[in-house]
Amino acid sequence: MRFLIILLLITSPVVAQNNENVFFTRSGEIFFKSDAPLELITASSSEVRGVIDIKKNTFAFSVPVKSFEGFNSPLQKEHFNENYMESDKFPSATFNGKIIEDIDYSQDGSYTVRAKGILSVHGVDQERIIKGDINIKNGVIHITSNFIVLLEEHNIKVPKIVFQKISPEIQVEINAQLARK
Amino acid sequence: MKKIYLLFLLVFFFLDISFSQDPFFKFYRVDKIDQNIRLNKLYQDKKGFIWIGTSNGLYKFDGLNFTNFPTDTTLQNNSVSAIYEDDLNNVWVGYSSGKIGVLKKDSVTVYNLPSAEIASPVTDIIQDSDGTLWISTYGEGIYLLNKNNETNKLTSENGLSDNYVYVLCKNSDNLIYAGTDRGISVCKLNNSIVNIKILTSSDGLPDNIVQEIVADASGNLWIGMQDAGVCFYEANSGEFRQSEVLKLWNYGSVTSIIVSHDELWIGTASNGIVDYEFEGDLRFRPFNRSTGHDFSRINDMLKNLEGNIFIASVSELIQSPGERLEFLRSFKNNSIDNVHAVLADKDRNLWYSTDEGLFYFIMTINKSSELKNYFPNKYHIISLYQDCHGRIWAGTYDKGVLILNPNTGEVKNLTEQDGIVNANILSISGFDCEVWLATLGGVSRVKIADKSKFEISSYNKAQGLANNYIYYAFIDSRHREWFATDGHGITLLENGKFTNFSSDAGLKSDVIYSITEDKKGNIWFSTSTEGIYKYDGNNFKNFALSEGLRDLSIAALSADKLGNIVIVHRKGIDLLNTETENITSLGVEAGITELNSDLNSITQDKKGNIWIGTQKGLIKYAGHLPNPNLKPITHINKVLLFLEEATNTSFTSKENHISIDFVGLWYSNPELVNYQYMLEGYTRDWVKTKDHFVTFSNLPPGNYTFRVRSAFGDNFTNASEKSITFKINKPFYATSWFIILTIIVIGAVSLFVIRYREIKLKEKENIEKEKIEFQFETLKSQVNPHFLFNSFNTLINIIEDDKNLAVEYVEKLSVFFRNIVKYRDKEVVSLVEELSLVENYLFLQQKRYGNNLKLCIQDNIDRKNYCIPPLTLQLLIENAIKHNAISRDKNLNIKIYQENGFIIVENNINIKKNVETSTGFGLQNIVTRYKLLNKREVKIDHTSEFFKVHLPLIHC
Repeated sequence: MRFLIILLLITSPVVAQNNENVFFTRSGEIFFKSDAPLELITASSSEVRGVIDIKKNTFAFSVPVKSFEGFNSPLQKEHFNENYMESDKFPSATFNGKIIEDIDYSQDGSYTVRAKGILSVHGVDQERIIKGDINIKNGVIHITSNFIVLLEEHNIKVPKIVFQKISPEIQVEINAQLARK
Repeated sequence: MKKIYLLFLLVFFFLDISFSQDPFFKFYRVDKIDQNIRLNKLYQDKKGFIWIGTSNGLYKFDGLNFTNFPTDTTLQNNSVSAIYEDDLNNVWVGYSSGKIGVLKKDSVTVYNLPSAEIASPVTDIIQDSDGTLWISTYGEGIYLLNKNNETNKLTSENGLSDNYVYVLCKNSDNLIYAGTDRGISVCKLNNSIVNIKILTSSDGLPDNIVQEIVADASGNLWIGMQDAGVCFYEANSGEFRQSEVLKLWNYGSVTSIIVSHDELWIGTASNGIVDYEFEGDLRFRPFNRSTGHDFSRINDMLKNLEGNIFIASVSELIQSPGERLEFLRSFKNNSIDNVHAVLADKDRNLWYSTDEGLFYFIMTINKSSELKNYFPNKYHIISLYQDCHGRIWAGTYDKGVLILNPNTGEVKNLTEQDGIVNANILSISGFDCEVWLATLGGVSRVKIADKSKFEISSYNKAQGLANNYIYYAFIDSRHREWFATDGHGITLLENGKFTNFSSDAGLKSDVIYSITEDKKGNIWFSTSTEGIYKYDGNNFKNFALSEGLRDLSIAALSADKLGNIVIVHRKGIDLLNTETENITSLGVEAGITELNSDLNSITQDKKGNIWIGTQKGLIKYAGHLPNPNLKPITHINKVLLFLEEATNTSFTSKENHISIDFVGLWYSNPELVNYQYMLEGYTRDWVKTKDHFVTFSNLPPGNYTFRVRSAFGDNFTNASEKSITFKINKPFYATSWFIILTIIVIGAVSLFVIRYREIKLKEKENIEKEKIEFQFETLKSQVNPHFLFNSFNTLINIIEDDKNLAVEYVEKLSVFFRNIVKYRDKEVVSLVEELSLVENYLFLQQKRYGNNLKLCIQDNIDRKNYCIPPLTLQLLIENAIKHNAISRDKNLNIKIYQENGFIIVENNINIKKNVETSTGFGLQNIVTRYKLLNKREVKIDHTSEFFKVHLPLIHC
């Protein structure tokens, strides 16, 4: 929770403007896919807020669960928010921690890095090491990553009858460009 | 303390996907009932015991039993994540909850760090050269607890690479390496000051997340990482190295590393154990993750003194003899059966023949799955050899020798037509470009002139061989040829001359199967039924069951690189140390249940591994590895008194039921261990047992030394021995001090009694004496002429004035004298009697002094209950009258009264002009008499005003 407050503070224009170690975005993209035998579900959001402190080599990302659009029907979206993600109770999914690899942010270049931190989805925290690519160009940090979220790990319970329609492994893709204010 | 007997032991064999060459694994559960216990950490203490940190607290394993050591206070999270024994032999325990504990006897006591509370999991504990404990945590850096019980903290704020620390490793006195999420922190100690240098990917570290650091014998480090596998760090040059093979790592996160002689066992987070040979072929071999057992996540590994490797998978403790012995039982799901001959070629590739053909297995990583079958189902190949041109010679039954060029595939078949003596080739050996064939018809020597030209000469009975059936031909280091014959002993060919040794030379068996030579040039050979012989050039020495061989029918022999003779028989492998001639063995504990090997189906590769072909695959014995500790280590666990753990070793006479719990640590095969014990002071001989526990009941008082030793079989020479001394004290009445004390007391008492009697007698004597003196004095006073003279003068006056009064006066006088006579023999008289005497006396005196003499006897005197020595009061009054002037102007007032248990006689003092001479005898006599009566003392107050005598009252 404390982290969220910090995140909101940092991403609000008032606080963040003069800190040149901090890169941020308020419009990162996230996409997920559930590839189950009977149904393919996809959804995405472009409301990912993120911040990277290049001095400490730490990061924080957050996305409002309700901002996901797509799905195969409006009813499915409702189920997603109310039954599975309980987005009233757990309004956002977050990932914050540190970047393991040393990166020279001052120069253009590409890196494959590991981000280690706490992934919080559906109110359940998991320590994760997630691989991603960082591309620095003209003072903009471009981040992409693919990873998998296991429903079981985050205590997201899917009724047995729906199991054929929802995969226990959700593939997630993130794509964000962070810049100094 | 909860003791759980080993309930679960399983051995599994391998069903493989491709090629399985695995060591033997034995599986244990620390607790059969609670299957959910997770294993986190393994540790070996200085004595050799194995400790296991689990989700259910700390366990100790002695090879047979798991013992649980609970925490003394209830912890929410009892999961042990770190174990360490410090320089004072305290066992420290770190918990996932951040708590620290110290093992105290049967439980772990939580240790509160001064001014610090850890909330993150403890990952490792070690001690530096100053004695400071380093406690690494997952999230809070490293806590330092020094000998003065002060806590310090290393975090990313004061130079640590990251607060998430996985492992601590010390490779020299003043260097501690900490593996973290952001590289390695090299902590250099300089007079208790810690300088930290950080090593990260910019220094060549392949991966910043360092989860395991292990130092090898020379102080260099092997580093296990989250993503990039394992790398090597040379401490002196500061250089990270990763071989090309290691760069191909794709087995995921590394959790633990065991450094062996020439290979690493790498424990991973999801792929079990991967073996990496860092010398020689540089290859990976993932050990099988097989059915039924948890072999995917490896939490920790440990190599113990015996060379066994212990593995903590999530739920099982796995034990393996390690790299010493490995089994190659199948390839691509095809089992390797009935191996007749085996050959490790010069490139360390392996050739073996079965009923199905001649197989060629390339052992290098790039072609690891390649297995080629030459001659499928065509020949019966029973012997193999590689010649000086790298060609493989395969000896067959009945079909001569096949000479195969593996590079071209070209094959040449040498048969009797080519000049060899017989087509049944039992063994092939050679030196340089000279090859010897042992056959059923003698031996043939094949000289390879060039690649396709052979010069063959043969020997059989006709040339002087003792027999035509030759099992084995051996060329020794002096280029002499030895032949093992069937039924005629061993034959030596030297300088063209045959010498035969058989039963004539003392051999018990004439059927010789195999021959080898040790480093000193001794020839060793095996027989069909009588074990093995050593020939030192002069004598033959037999080694059989009594020397420690487990079987007499030997299938194959080989001298390993370290100078042991490797002896193969049905029951396994025996190792004969040629220096000490001690025999040890590898059997069930290493996974050999039954070993059926063809004759001489043995080979040694360049590295020194010995390969043995059996009916069920191939066995590799790593004959080049230095021998680890090869005997059990004895420990006395505890001494029990009436089956409760004793707190000291000195017992009272009634504490005479003593038990001793001991163990001979031999994890490889604890069932093999035998014990001998002796209680010096009670028994004279060693008693043999297989139990770990012995009880002595009704021990008489005395000093005892319990000695115990452990060994395999019956050979206890050089066995590890431990002893403990204890004492049963004599009962108190039998101790010398008690006897002496008794004598002293009795003596003192008798002495006292004698002295007391003496004193009493003396006292009595004194009383008698005093009494007599007093009587004498009284008598004297009775006839005191003054008194009588005065009395008679008074009487004369009265007679004239008052006749009746005179009669009364004379009566009183006579009563007075009668009473004196009556009382003087008594010790005491009652106050009634004494006072009436006094009154009488006063009457007599008053007639003389009139009212100038006054006596006042107070009423409060308890006359009936108290007594007084006779005539005491009278004497005092007499004295008062005697010493004072009495006149009208100077009245004498005498008071007698009782006060505080005294009767007091008080008179005022009127000093006389001419003092009567006084002996002072009367008063002195009173004081003495009281003393003799043993009563309180008489007190005398003498002032210028009055004279006061306190006489203690005596109860009648």
